[in-house]
Parts: sequence; C-alpha cells; structure tokens
Amino acid sequence: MACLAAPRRGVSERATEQALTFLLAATVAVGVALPFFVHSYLLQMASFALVNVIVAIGLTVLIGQAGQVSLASPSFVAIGAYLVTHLTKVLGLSYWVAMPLSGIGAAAFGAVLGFPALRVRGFYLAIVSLAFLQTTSILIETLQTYTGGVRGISVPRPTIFGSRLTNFDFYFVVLAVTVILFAVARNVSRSPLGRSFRAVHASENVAASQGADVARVKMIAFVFSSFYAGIAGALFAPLIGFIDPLEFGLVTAIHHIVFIIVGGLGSVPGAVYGALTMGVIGELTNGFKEYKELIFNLALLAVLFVIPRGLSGIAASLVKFARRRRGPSAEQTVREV
Amino acid sequence: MSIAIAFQLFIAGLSTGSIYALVALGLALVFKATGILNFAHGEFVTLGAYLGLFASYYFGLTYPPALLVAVLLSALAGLLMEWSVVRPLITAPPFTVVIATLAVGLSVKNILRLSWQENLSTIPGTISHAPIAIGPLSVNPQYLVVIAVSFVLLGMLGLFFKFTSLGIAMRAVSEDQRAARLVGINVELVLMLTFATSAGMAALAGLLLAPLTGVHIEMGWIVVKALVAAVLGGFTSLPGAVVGGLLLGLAEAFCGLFLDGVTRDLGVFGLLIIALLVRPHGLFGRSEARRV
Amino acid sequence: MKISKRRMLSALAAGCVLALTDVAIAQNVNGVTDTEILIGSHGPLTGPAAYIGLGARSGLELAVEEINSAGGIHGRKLKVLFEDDGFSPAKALGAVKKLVEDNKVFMIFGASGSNPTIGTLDYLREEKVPTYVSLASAPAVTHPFSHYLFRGATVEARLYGERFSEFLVEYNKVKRLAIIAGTDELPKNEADATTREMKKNYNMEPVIRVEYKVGDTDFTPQLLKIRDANPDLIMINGNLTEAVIIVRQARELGLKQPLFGSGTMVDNAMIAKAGAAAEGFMGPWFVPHFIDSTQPDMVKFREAWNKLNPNAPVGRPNIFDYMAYGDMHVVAEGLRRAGRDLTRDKFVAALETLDNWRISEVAQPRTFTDWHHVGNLNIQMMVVKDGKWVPVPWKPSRESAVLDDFRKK
Repeated sequence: MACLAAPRRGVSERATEQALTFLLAATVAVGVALPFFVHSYLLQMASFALVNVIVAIGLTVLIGQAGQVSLASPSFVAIGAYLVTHLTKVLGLSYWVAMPLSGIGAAAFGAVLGFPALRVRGFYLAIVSLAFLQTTSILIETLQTYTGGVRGISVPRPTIFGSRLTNFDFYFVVLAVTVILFAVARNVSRSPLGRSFRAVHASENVAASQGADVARVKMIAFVFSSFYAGIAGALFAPLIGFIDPLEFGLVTAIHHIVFIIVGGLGSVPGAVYGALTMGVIGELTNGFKEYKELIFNLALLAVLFVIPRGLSGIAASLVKFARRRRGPSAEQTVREV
Repeated sequence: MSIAIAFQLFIAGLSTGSIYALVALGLALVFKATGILNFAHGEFVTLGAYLGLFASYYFGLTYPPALLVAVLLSALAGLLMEWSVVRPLITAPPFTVVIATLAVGLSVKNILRLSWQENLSTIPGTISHAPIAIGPLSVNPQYLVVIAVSFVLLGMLGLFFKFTSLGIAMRAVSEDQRAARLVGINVELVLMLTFATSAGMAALAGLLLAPLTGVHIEMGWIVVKALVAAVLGGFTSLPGAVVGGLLLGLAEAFCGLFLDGVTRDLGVFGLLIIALLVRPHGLFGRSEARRV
Repeated sequence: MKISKRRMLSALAAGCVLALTDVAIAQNVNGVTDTEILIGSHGPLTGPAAYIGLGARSGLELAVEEINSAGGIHGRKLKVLFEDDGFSPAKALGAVKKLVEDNKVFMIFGASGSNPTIGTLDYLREEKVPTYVSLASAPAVTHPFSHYLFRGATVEARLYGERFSEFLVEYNKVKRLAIIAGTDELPKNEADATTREMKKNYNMEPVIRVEYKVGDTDFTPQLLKIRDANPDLIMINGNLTEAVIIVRQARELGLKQPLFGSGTMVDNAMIAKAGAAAEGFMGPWFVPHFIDSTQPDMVKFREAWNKLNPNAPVGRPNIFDYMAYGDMHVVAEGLRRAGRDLTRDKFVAALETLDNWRISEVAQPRTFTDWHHVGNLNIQMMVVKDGKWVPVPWKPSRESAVLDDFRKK
C-alpha cells in the first residue's frame, strides 16, 4: 500500500499550508462580518456565491481528484432544489428536515450516474453525463405537477420558530453549511479515501493492484459530489425564491466547471476561491449590461492565461519557488528519485 | 409504418445526420491532430454563416464568392485562435485549454449578437430548394449537397493524411509532439494549419446549413450534437465521426415518429447510452493501450 | 445649573423643526424627488432572447427622451434603470429586488418575457410596487386582480385562444385543425388556450397535436403524422427559427394546407427564408401597423428612433421597440394624471382613468379600469400577400371573456 500512504510534508509545504489556513480563517471572518456592511441585494448574491462554492467543492473532488468527468452537476442541484420545494411546500415538512433529505435524495441519483461511469471513461463519460443532464431537464419539464414544468415554481423562505428568515438570517445558514461541508471535504481529501480517489484517477489498474475497490471508489465519488450539489440546490431554492429548468442546463454546467478550473482541479480550497472569484467577476461586470457576457468571457480568458493551473496552481508554484531557493531537503530528494 | 414513411424518415435522418457529420468531422480532426477539444467549433459554424451574410449584405457578393470568402476568413480566424490562445496555453492542463476555447467561442457569439440583430437572416441567392420528388418521397437537394460534401471531405482527408507530407506530419504531431519535433516537423505550423482547416470546415458547414435553416446566432448549438456524434463514432476516428453523425440523425428521425416532443430525446439518449455501454470507446474508437 | 429660557425655547424650536423634518422625510415616496422620478426596468439584454430586452430598452428610452425634452412630468424628469435578467426568472427576481430595495425605484416597468416576469410577480404583489408589464402574456400578471399590476401592449394567453379560434373557425372556416407546438411556455400556452376556446365556443377539437423541441432542424416525423391526419389548416406555435423550416418542409412533403402561426413568425424573415412557401401565412400582430408601414406615425417614430440610435445594427427597431415606446408613454400619462403630489397609490389610480388612450397610431389603445388592468384587447391579424405582410380585413365579433373573471367580483 506504499503509494496510498500519506506523503510526508516538507518544510516549504508546511509553510504554504499555514498560509492557506490563515487565508481560510480570514475568509471566514470576512464572511461573518459581511452582512453588517452590505446591502440586502449584495448579501443575497454573496449567499448565492456560497451555494456555488458548495457545488464547486463537490465537483472538484469528483472531477479533479477522482478523475470522473461530469457535466451533470446542475442536475443534482436541480434534484436538491425541487425535492426541498416539494417536501416543504407540498408535504409540509420542516425545511431543516427537508434540506438534508434533499441532499441525500440527490446523492441517491448520483449513484445512478455512477453506474455507467464504471464502464465508460473520459469523453465518453462526459457524453453520458450530458445525456443525464438533458434527461433531468426533460423530466423536470414533463413532471409538471411536481415541478411546475417550464413555468417554474416559487419557493418560500424557511421559518425558524415561526418567523420567516430574511436575507440576513439565511446568509448565516448558508455560510454555516458551507464551512461545515468545506471542512468535511478537506478531511476527506486527506484521508485514505481521498488518496484512493487520486489513485484511481492516476491509474485504475495500479490502484486495483494496490487493493483499492475501483468501482466502490468511483461510486463514492459520484455520491459525494451529488450530495454536495443536492445540498446546494436545497439552499438555492429558498434563497432565490423561484426555480425553473433554465437554471439547470448546460450553460450552468459549464459555469460549474469554470469554478473548479479557475480554482485548480482537485483542490478543495481552490474550489472555494474559484467559485468566489467568478462570482465577484460576475457581479463586477453586471454594469456592462449587454456587454456583460463579452467582458465576462474575456475576463475568464485573461484569468486562464495568467493562472492556467488555477488558483491552487499558484500555491504549487510558490512551493516550487520556495523549494528552489531553499534547496532540496533530504526527504525531498529521497521522494523525488 | 408504411414503407414510404419509413423511407422518408430515412432520408430525413440522413439529411440532418449529414450536417452533424460535417460538423463532427471538423471537431474530430482537431482532436485527432492536437488532442484538444475545440469548444469554439460551434461558433465557427455560426461565424462562417455570418461572414457569408456580411459579405453579401455589405459588399454585394453573391452566394458562391461569399461562401469562399467566408470559409477563408474563418480559416484565418481559426489560425488566429490557435496562435493567440491555444499555443500559449499548450502547457496548461487540458481542461483549461478546453474552457479557453469555449470562452473564445462565446466571445465571438457575443460580438455577433450585438452587431447584427435580426432574429433570422438569409443570404440572398442561396441554392433554390425545390424538392426532388421520387415517387411519394421528397428530398431537398441541399441535403444531398451536404451529404456529398461530407463524404468528399472525408475521402480527401483520408488521402491527405495518408499520402501528403503535411498530412503525415499532422498524424505524427497527434501521436507524439516531441518526437515529431525531433524529426524536424514544424509543430507550430502544423497546429496552426489544423485549426485553420477545422475552422474552415466549420464555416463550410454553417454556409451549407444557411439555406436550410437561415442564419441566426444560436446555430452553434449544433456542436453539442456533433460532439455526441463524434463520441459515438469513437473520438479518434474520422470515419467514425461521419458515421456517428448519420446514425444520430437517423435515431432522431425514427424516435421522433414514436415519441413526441421532449420524450424523443429520451429515446435518443437511451440508444446512445446503450451504444456506449456496449462499446465504451465508441463504434470505431480504439481503446488506448494503457501504460501502467 | 440654570438653563436660560431663551436656550430652552431654541431647543424646543430646534426639536420641532427636527420632528417636522422627520415627518417630511418619512412622507418621501420611493423613487420620487423634486426633480426626478426613478423607474426600474428589467429585460433580457444577454442570451438568446436579447432582442426582446434590447428592443424594449431603446423603445422606452426614446419615449423618455421625448418626455424629458418636453419638460418632463410636472417638472420632474424620468430616469430609467434597466437591469439585465438574461430571460431567467431567478435573475429577474434578483434584479427586481435590487431595483426596489437598493435603488428604491418608484415603479417597475416589465420589459421581459413571460417566464422571467412570472418569477417576479409574487414579490411585487406582496410589496405593492406599481408594476407595468409591457411584453409578457402570462395570465398571472393580471389574474388575480391587483391594483398595482398592469398589463400593456401584449395580450394575454386566453385572448390568444379566443381570437385565434374565432379567426380560424369563422374567417378560415376550419373544421380540422392540426397543431404543431414547441414545448416551452409561450407556444404551449397558445396551443392550450386555442384548443380550450375552440372546444368551448365551437365544440371543436384539433385532429392532431404534435410537439417539437426548440433547436430542432428537422420536423419530418411530426409533419408526416400531420399529413396522415388530413387537416384543413395547420397552426404552428413557437419561434421564427423553427417555423421557417417547418413551413419549408411542410410544402416539401406535399402539405398544401394554409398555415397560421405565432406572433414571432410575423416577420420579414419568414418571407425571405421560406419564399413562395410563406405565401398565405397568417399570424397575429400587436401594434396597428407592420414594421415597415409608411403610415405617418410609424415614419415619425422611425425617424426619431434613428436619430437617437445612429449606427443601429440591422434588424432594429424591432416590434419590442414599438411596444415599449407606446407603453412608456402610457406610464407617463398615468404619472401626469396623478399630479405633482405623486404617490404610488395616486399613480395606480390615475392609470385606471385611462380609456382608449394611446400616444399615436404606433400603439394599440389602452384602457384600464378600477376592476381590471388588461390594457389591450386588440390583435391585428396579418397575412403574407404577394410577398408582403398586410393586415387581414377582419375584426373579431365575439366579446372577449377575458374580463369576465374580474366582472364576477
């Protein structure tokens, strides 16, 4: 099990690690302070950005770490959103029960997508996930009585102890869920499970020969990421107050992929900052009205030029730079040979 | 289902399939030669059609010279994209390059949308489409043109890759860029020409599509169907892209008879997934020998 | 310490002034200052439906420019903040919330399609923001009745159904109707409404209804089914892009029946693309004259529009320019009638006094009452004759039942 064992960390890596922890803590602090300084609308946009962070974290684990290409992330967001709407609006469940249930529901559907993934890889898997995405769209449109079809459906804000949550309150809910899910994902990344994700990504044959149950690992990756997307959907629905199939199509799938590429494929903190960065760029370009799309796409292109490996790539480059200045350590040399 | 209806559907399926095939061919070409999935491909289809439109509207060109001008300009655009966007990102992870091409394509689309605001436009003087009647069946001759062009291009590309030095150079570059450079191939030039050819092919598809569907901003969505077709055929196979396109068209036509509206797509997807489960590398794709 | 009487009086005076000022500030109406009325608007400026928002925005900007250069409304200039909603209900709701809560606009001018508009209605009803919807046909805008929501140029889905079915049955003598409809909101609404009204008023049902997906380029399966059903007229509901292909393929497959389509298909591109196959194509039109009409008001509009928008891209002004222009003038008239002492309630009450009012023949007349806000009940049918769109000399004779819902109350 040698290559599935935890890598030893060098000095420069530990330093970057500490810097990152500090950055994350600072981000959370800013997140907590934010509502006291901004307008209601910006607060709603910030909540929306956090919802995207959750999706991005799940997706970077699936695509970046486990190497399973998927364009179907919006489907699971949709499943989470429509489930939570149905459970609260029609079945009268409390939102606080419905929300995790919706995540689990989405995760169950994630397993459905996992099956073809056992047989198909790369582009072919991408196409299968595309088929899954389109199929979900079709189902949303045809199951009108449950989903409101193309017309969409309104979603009430959850109540706590009888009073409706405002933008202010709901933001903290979203922030709390994001922080928790981030911590979980980070731990998973560093656990043996996370290492088996990366092993399967690197080479399924080698991973199998080292004792990993490749099928199970892939399945877990799908279930994990679709759970995240489902929770994100269950937060998205009451946040915006209205959902319709247009929100969950190919364009959204591409947005999700952009988050994790800008963040750096496979990096959980990267996913956070990738999603936040694109959210900020999106808000900043709004003022351009009909030119917004063009400016946004050019800005994206610029970002990709400057950091082709994503934000986490910066961290990796910093480590390399620091190492070069410091010279290799003994354990480094041993490992790299 | 009567024989006449079956045949008419068959013709319809081959017709739309031929468009998918032509677009898929360009997509597969770039992938085969460079390993890059060019998501701007769809917008090159749109760009080609609009360049033809501008050529006829602003410069008074008739359809044949407009087509030529549009194809050449699009090829140039493809070349430009390779040089300014793809080449600098050559060392980046593949996903980054793919999204970069997507961003380029979307930017092109945004610019077109703002500069020409008719919902649907016509390039004047496009081939008259009085249908050819064969007994109870009817065929639009434009589709015959598209099918013919697709097969001719496929044949030409086959010969090109086998017998010309540039074609062999492209194959070499697609197999191993470093080795190709070592034997003296100008890899940069090959990459640029590949993108140029592919963009030209996309433009041609758009211009051949224009008489049938008109020119409009959302023409580029055909790339999604083309991608499905290319994957179905096995992404590294050029004949596979063509066959995949035709099969996709046929699947849509026949599923459309039994299933209505959106459920038709469910049928098509079902067939697609079955096909990929049976042959996970597409119909003609080769499973890559995986080095352990 | 002894506080002098004078000081106490000054403090009292200051306190009174402060109290009065507070009261004065509290009575300030959102979006209204001494010199300006702030109007919020939203519509698609990006995405496939951008032609709607871009058109509407220029149209309303032209109206605003005309009003402001004539001195404004009771000394106040109009200012419009236009937000992009990308045709997404979620984005539209976000835009509306921003306009109402952050920008504190006086009213909302809806320049978006049905789907995005529906996303905003619950919120606007609850917050009692005067909302004038120019382009969306979804019934939810005016049903149930709210004093604060108005519909302008576009007619609503039920009226489509009534007028279409009457036109088809009485004018075209249709007995066997075939419907081919797109699967999204508007085409579905149209087809459903027409089917419903045909059944109700004439006890007739379509002989076949087939669907297609937006983006499709081949309609052979659907047309073959229609051919089998042997209708005497085919109704196409959806967008122009698919319609031109349907028209061409229908003729190719030997279908000779007359064709009737949605408003989106009444476009010169239909003639340009479908050529001879489009001859006789009929469809609804929502302003009195066609886009290239030489009627004097239309010419005047185009001249003014081109002056404000030099270097406009091909294809503009489009129908939405006209519709939003007419409607912004309606809004201005309502503001005018409300008087200098402007509040939201006075504005909506003023709009309700409009009776067959319009700025010129560029628009259909608007009528609002205190029991319904369905501004326009007129549809003009158009037909392609000798390669040009011309009005059909037909006026509906049935009374519309659209207002019955409100009459009951």
